Amino acid sequence: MNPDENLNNLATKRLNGEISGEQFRLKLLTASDVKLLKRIAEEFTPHPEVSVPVYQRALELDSRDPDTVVDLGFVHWLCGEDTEARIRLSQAYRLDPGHLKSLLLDAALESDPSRIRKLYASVLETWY
Amino acid sequence: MASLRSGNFSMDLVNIDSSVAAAGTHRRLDRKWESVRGQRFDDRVRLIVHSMDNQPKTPFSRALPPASPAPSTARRQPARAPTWEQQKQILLDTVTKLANVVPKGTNSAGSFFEATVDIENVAGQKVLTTIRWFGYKDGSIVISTAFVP
Repeated sequence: MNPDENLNNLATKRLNGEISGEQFRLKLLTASDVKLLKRIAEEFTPHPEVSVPVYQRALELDSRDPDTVVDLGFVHWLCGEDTEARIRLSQAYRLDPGHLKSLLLDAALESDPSRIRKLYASVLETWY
Repeated sequence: MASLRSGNFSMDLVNIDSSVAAAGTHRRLDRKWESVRGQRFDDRVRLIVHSMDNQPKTPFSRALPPASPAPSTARRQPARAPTWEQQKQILLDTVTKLANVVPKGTNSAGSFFEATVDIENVAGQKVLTTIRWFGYKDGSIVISTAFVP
């Protein structure tokens, strides 16, 4: 079985409750392919018991990637954990102040319409 | 009363356990619920509703007022609490009816969405509710959170 199938099977077992969160985290320690970890985390995005530890493992291996930081922030946002999402947003801005995905997460977390407009204007400037 | 309970979490929409409400926190749903998570409710839609620990938001399941007591002379049955299946269906119906919702963000698997809408429960009570969900590229969705903004 290749690493892709291994990690996918492991994630599925965690999703189905066949292994505990602790067992899952321990097994993730052997995973070292950041791209694979990110892909699995993205596939399991709305399942935080899988996606959060996988993103965290990816960040252990490469803590300088703002994309991964923001993707994890979006998982927290999705689950209503806005405080955690803001912590990840701050980390991402520190890594890259004009990071496109960070601007989008910032807008998702913002309640002030005028600031949301400014953020989306920045998104368009960054995009084009 | 039709309801599902998990730890200190009440799935009862209408008649909230006062001790649970006073606790001010909700727990994530337990294994019993997680076993339901992978279930597909139709070809296109999956539904997961989390209830967050220590969240300032009021989860949808706690947002509805208690059922009004029936007049003593009317001998009417008090409003029945919606079952968990009914609650899921309420959220599911709401999201699937929404159109042109712009994603808040995307990744390689799909997009993140949020909408705030009035939801009417089976007791006919309307509750302004924010729903967040993830939409996969194949069209299936996973509702992650529902709370009162």
